[in-house]
Amino acid sequence: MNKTTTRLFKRNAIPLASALMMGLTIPAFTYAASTVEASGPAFLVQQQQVSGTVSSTEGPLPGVTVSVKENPTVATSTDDNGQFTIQATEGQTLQFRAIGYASVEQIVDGTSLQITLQADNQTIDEVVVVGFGTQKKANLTGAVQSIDAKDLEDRPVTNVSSALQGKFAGVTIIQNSGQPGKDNGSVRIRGLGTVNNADPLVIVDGVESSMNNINPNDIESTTVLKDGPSAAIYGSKAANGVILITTKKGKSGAPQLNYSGYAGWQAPTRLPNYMRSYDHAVILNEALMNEGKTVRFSDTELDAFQNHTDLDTYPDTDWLGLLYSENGFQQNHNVQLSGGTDKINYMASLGYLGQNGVIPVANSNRYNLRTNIGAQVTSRLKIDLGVAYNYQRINEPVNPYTGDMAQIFRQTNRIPSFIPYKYSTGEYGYYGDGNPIAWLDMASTDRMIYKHTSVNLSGEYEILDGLKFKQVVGFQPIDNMSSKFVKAITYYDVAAQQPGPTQGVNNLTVLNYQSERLTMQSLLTYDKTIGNHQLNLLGGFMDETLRHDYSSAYRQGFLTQNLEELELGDPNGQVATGGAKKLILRSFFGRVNYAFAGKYLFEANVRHDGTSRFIGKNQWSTFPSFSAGWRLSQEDFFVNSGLSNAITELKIRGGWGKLGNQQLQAAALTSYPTGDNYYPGHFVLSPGVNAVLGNELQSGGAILDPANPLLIWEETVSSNIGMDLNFSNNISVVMDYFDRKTNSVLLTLPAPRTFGLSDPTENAGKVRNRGIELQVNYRNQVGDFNYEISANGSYIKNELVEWKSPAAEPHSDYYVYQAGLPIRAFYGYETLGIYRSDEEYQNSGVTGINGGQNIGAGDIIYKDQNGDNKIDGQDRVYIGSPDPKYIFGLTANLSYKNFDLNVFFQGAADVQGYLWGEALGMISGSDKPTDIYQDRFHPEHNPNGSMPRALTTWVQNSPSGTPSDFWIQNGSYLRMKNLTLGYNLPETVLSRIGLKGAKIYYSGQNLLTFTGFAKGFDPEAPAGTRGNYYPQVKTNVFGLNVNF
Amino acid sequence: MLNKYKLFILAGFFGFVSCEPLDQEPLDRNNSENFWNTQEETAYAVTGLYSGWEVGSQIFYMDCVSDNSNSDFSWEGFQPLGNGTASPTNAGNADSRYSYEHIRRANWILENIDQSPISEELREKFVGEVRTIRAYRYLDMAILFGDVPLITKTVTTDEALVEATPRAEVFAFIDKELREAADLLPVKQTETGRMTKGSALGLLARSLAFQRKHEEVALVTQEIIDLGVYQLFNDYAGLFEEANESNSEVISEIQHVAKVQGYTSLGIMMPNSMGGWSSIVPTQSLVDVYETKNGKTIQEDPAYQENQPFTDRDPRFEATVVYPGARYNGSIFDPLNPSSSNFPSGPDNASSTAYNYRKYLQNPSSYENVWDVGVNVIVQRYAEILLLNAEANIELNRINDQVYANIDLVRERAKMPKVDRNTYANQSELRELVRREIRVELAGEGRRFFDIVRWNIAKDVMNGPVYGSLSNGSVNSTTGEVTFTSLKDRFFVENRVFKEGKNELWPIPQTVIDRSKGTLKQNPGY
Repeated sequence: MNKTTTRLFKRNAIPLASALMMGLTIPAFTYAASTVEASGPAFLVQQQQVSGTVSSTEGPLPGVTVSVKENPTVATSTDDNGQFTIQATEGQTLQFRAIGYASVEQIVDGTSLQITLQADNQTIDEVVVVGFGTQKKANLTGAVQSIDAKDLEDRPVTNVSSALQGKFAGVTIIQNSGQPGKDNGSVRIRGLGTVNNADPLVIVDGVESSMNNINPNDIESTTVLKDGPSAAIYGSKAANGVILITTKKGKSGAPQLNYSGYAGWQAPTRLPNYMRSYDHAVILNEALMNEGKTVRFSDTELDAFQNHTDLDTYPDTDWLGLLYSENGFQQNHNVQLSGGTDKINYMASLGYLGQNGVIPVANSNRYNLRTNIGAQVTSRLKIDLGVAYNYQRINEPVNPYTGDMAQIFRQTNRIPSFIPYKYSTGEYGYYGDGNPIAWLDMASTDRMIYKHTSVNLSGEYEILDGLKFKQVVGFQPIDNMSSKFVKAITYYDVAAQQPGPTQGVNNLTVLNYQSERLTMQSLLTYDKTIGNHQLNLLGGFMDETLRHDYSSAYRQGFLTQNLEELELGDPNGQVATGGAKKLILRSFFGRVNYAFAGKYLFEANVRHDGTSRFIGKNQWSTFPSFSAGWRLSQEDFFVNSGLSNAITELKIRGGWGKLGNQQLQAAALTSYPTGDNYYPGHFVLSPGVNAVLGNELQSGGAILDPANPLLIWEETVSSNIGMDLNFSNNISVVMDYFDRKTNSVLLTLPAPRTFGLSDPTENAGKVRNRGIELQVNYRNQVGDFNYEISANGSYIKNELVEWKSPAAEPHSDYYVYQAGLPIRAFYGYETLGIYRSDEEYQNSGVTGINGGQNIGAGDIIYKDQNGDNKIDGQDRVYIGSPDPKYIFGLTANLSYKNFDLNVFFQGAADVQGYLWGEALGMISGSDKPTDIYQDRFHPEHNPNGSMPRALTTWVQNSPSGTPSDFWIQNGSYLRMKNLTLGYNLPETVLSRIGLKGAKIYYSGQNLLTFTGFAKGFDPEAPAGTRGNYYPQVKTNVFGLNVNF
Repeated sequence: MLNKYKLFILAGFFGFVSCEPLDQEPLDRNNSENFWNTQEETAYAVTGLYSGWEVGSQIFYMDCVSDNSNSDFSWEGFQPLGNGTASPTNAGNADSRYSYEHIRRANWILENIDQSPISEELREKFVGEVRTIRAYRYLDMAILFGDVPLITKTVTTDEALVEATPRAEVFAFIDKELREAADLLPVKQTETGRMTKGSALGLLARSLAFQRKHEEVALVTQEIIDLGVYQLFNDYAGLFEEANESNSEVISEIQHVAKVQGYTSLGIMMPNSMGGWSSIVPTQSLVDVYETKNGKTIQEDPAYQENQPFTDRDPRFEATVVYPGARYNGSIFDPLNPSSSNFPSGPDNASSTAYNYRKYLQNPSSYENVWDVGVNVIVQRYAEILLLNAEANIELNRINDQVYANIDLVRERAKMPKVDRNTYANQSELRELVRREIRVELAGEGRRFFDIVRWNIAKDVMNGPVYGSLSNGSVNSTTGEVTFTSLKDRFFVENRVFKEGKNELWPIPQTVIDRSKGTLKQNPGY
């Protein structure tokens, strides 16, 4: 009976971990009793092994947390047979807790314990991690959602953000790339609140960190603080929500050894379908004819493309096939050892993730090491030490033309099939921009090494009953380096029988980057329960220093392509750069929780933050929040009315809070030291603005970016109203309505060109996100068949409500800022179809785009919005947004006897994609069109064609030259994100081979996608760069999970 | 008590908290509020202004907006401006030219340089350089866009919202600035590449020429001639080569040092077969304007044979254009063979006209890396001054010996016969000659658009089809001999439209209009 092996790491560690970590009292675990046997040898003598079995009405219950009430660091969980062993003393009380069951307490009396838990939907005792502490779920007043380890298990996810995708209502996670080592998704909580860094704050074990540094396997629980009331304790960093990650801790009991691993293969999800030689040649001729030019290919040549008889002269190269030639083998291994005594607990884990790309050269190897040790030094003093080390090597191919990876994808998506990859003589084919597969064959590589260390030490001391002091020191040094060696390539001109052009020079760029983040936190908490009054107080101080240092060196002119070290390059033309940045943040904060009779709940937070980023009095700001909850289901009238038979929990909660954002740009892993401006208030001279004078390079500098000493924090005011509803028939519902307004948004305003500097950052707008979130869970059991379904969905309306300028301000070719529109709003012409004849255009009385030249049959009809009879910039309107209004996730866990099946869907709706660039392709000799052009207008062959006529360079129909809604497509999608089918080895087998548990499974990621979006392009692809990125991948793996 | 002791330790822990102040200044940037303290800092800022004050490719590309050259790629920004399809939302390169970046840098230096502890002499020199560069930017914008806001101090974003200043006022400002800068600047700078008296006067001559102020052009160009520091370099083809850079003919230039800050766009002009892009290629119209070596136009010279168009022409043709049958870079250039990688309807990067530019690229393989070369790009040279002087005198109908002498100097350097004083005797004949001479001498150097607008001939030369070489024929791969089988069929490039009263100016990019919040008005016709 293994229906819930997956619950092995379920709830059991949360109270423990939370207590270790945060020091906020959980009423059920007050240390009140710990005065007694806290010290002295007598305690040891009395200790004994207590064992027993926990079962439900259906049978043995695995994953139940068993802990000693008097000393909660002593805890374990039941195995797959519901059995447990724990160190306890006679007279102590054991607590048994599992989600979905009422807790049971049992005094140790020396006998083997047989405990039966009753199913209970009131997950009253469930505790979730909140800011600087934990909170009983029942007492929550904010919009907080939590998931635990089982939600992440047995899936071939390679990073935390992909693991969390679709699991939280109101949290949009978009995975932009499938590149090994660089496949992190972007996370948006409750919409896009700012045009600046919209990443949520990520706190790992109480200290700010990055999701990228964590092995998903090490995660015990993840909590998302979505609204102002719950996040305000993080003040100036919390405007985009907070994600709290708690890593696994050891539980007292015999050592537990777990191995989990999988291996499998990746493949691109969707690849564009480009025209091959013949079709391309035909449409190119047609386009040239449409422009009055000589055709490029004769009829004989067209035939030759079809015949495939002379592939040297008339090639038909499958460029994408050559690029995506690798199977993307991926393997993951994790070993975890944990255990403990009543005084000390430990957890050590080692993880390895190896990924080969779906293209040559690209790969990643990641090693994660983490140890968490907790010690109850005395009955009052507890010390926790967590050390994590992550080592990752990422290789990515680069090219001699532009020196990056993107161009390899772009070039492959562009180069026509009528260019050969290789001639039969073995020489590479090439055209102007080179040969992308020849580049790959050269294996020019950017080798990146990321070393991230995290040390987290905390000590908690109970000064008096309920009064605790906790000090946390977090230190995170990051040490990254990269070494990019680009190899020149010389082609051979087959026609002229002589060497052809050379692309690039042999060159090496070495980059060293270090950063250090030192965090100090001091927390004082006080918890007191008097009768029906329950009071929790928190006060704290925090200080954070973040410093980045980097240096880079460049040399070219290497003698060979085999030795890739700096010293072997030519000192002529060498370049060295370097710099440093520092940011200091200082905060005071406090919180009051008050609950009366478990029915009326109140919470208030305040945080006072100071940052070195701003100047003078703008450095400091205060972020308060308030919230309240009412558990109607606890009221007598509710119970008496009989409603309680159907509804086991009904809570209404609401709150208001103010949050801040000071970060101007997201700190990408690859930008050094960081793209974020730490000194926006100072006019500074950018260095390296050099010039050659006297035929020698001279050092120069200039002010290139504007400063704004008046900048203040972005402030977000967030209100939330929510309801938690549990029905006795195993359905639970969480509903939230939120309204989140970001005032004084830091925006780079499009400055007048006459200003002469780049666009300045100002507190210039207000953004509002309103929406509804719904989370529904249902669990049931029919005989041996168990199922659990959870669904979440949210609607988010994003709106720029106030804007410094009353007029629409286009700020790129496609986007506009305008009050009333979403932040990311596509801007272009409305279209009315296609002119079917030249006369139709001429009779329209409207001068077409670009002065009306060359416009006629087969061209797109643009709408003259202002009626001035000409199409120009004034006729542009809002035509869509790439940010979805609806997002949803659906998870179903089914189990039958030893089998379990997990299916997970995720999707987005009411979202627009803009089709351009390589997603569409172009009809020229250097770009190949996608087969969407097959249905192009032609006066004779296809007068009703859905696409405009073929043209090579004229821009009247081009999505990049003339943005229009013609190229807007519905980007909604539904994706089967994961499918996992597992088989748990039966007890009979396990006992014979001496294992506690073993499971084999198949799991697939991104297996199916339903979307109407451009054929061959992934709906999750970034809106701005269609074609030039590493594609999303689907993954098929087989895995094994063993408990020794 | 033990507990007290422990408390003490924890309090000590608390004391670890760093006490660094929240006021932090940039660690790797000079704060402009604390600058101008030394001569080095001042020079640092002036060098910052020189950085990118003009860009070589901008100069070369400019001929594509004239009948000299063609750019086949709309995304490079010049094709729409050349063929008349440019519009506010498709303004191409107009977007990068409508720039106040260097104007602001200059304004900032001029506002602050007085606090710098440098000698008066050096201050004057720097101020002269800075004002010259600022005037250059305004001259460029006034020519391309007409009325533009005249900003002479560093402005806030609100202050930057000003209406355009009438073009005449902008020109008046430019002329005054250049005049005064010339007075501040030395005739020669220790470091080449810096602005000199001649640089300021040369630009002033351009400005005046554009305003058709012939009398003043004559005076200013004469002033430059009288400086006595300039003379024509003795080899026309070699004039542009790296080996001869900063020679006595150069008045203003953008300097490069290979690998350190090289010119990285020379390759875009090369033929496809050499890995070039053919982004800027000569047109048939340019090819036809070269005289024969006898000093006659091809229409006039009976020795000219239509089927051998490339033989016995002005040596500057050979030095400027790579043509079918030309011996170039070690082989015979053959764009006529359809299977050639240089065939115009063939690969995209093949020249659309079957011609490529040779100027600056006499011997591409001499460069270790043609995409990173040390050659300086000339902004203005003495030949232009001589010809502007001759032109001004012709327009003033002062047909004297100096007119002929100036033109002869230029022609003789190019190994062309002197001007036939009988054929070119009166004002209108000489006007035709000097205009042809300017076009031929400066072909590919970005001057042609400026000239066809000020001569008011753009409507005549910029309308209609653009052609390349005769297309039906073959090239002998050893001798380079060209045989054309048809004297009619040519490579067709595109049809151009030039509307008088509209296309003399570029459209103001829509984004510039949008950002001006209504203070800027679009140019007429767009």
